[in-house]
Amino acid sequence: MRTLLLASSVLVAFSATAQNADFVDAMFYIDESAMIRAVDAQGNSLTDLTFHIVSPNVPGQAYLSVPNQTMYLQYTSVKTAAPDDSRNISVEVIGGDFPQGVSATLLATPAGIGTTGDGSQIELSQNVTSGTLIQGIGSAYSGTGAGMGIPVTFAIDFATENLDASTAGMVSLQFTVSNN
Amino acid sequence: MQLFHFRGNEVIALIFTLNLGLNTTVALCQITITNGLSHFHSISGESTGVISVKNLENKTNRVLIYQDSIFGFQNPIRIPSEIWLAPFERVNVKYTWNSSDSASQCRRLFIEQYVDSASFIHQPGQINLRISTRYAVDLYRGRIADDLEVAWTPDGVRVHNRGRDFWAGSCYPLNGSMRGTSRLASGVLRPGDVRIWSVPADADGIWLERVDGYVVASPKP
Repeated sequence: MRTLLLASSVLVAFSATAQNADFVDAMFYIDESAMIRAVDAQGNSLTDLTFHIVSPNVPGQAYLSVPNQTMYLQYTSVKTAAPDDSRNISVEVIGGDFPQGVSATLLATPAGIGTTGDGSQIELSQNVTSGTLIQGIGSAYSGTGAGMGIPVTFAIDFATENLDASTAGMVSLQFTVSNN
Repeated sequence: MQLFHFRGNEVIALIFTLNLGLNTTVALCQITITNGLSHFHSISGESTGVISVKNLENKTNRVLIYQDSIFGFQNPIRIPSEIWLAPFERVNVKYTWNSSDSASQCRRLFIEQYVDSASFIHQPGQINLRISTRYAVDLYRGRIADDLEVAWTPDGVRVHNRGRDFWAGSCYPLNGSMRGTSRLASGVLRPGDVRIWSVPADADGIWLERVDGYVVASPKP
């Protein structure tokens, strides 16, 4: 392997001149942005998703599947220089456990205007409690209305023979925005 | 305090604002971080900094701050564990490195709005998923150096920070002897970190550019 060492410095000059005239300095301060919120399909703030696993009507039947639900992660991100030039969104189980025999598959699809990154699908269960949903968000924004944002579809998966109703309960999921 | 410009590139942000018309605050949320998710302090500089947190709601919000040890057993920092923000208030939360050691240090802080978890009444037969969001802010203190070992593997280029200091910057493809346009990766390599980055087949190598402009290039073997 041959390694080249190059020293470089990049100088970018911005000049403003004023000749024999009064001038006024204009000062700009632009916030970096790292904003995220969870909303429902109508664009309202979301704090809970509830899934009902109900028993079948006919003895001998398996439990019916649970309809998928979709939430949206609305965001604004304005990047700067490395390493704060690329943001991820990950999810982690921070409280409770998925009931025995139940898992949740989360599918995130990048959405918005700008560098919206790449989406992933992860499956959370008693054994898998975290994963990265979106990687590589740069400067981008999602919009604020209904149906805008990164759709995250939750699919509850289970097999009747693996269920244990005594372990049903609440699971706290936290979405984290971070650098790579 | 010498704070590297990982945060607050006003010129770039201004160009976005003027030319593309992007409003940096279009999305409403409960709280936001307005001075970046990575802060870097030099050893010789001040051992303090701030994290700018803003409340975007018209009600008072309680914000929790806690540290994680995913970077190992470096010294913790001093920072409040809880703050209260008045409606639309922006607060600079001061943090201080506890130690003046010359060794590289890094911490990850999590910042989240407090959510009352006692309000939900669980019903039998339900699985309830409680949703919340938070921000991870990475704090680094140390030197930026170039003690990198670069090796080519079938999966891409393997970059190993062998030194005791940080490497921070971006990796680009090498086109001839020039830097390619598309960035392959970026971030901070902590002491001992190893990354393997895939490199396009038509690239002639990689161009590793530190945040201060120093470049290491490695052609493909």
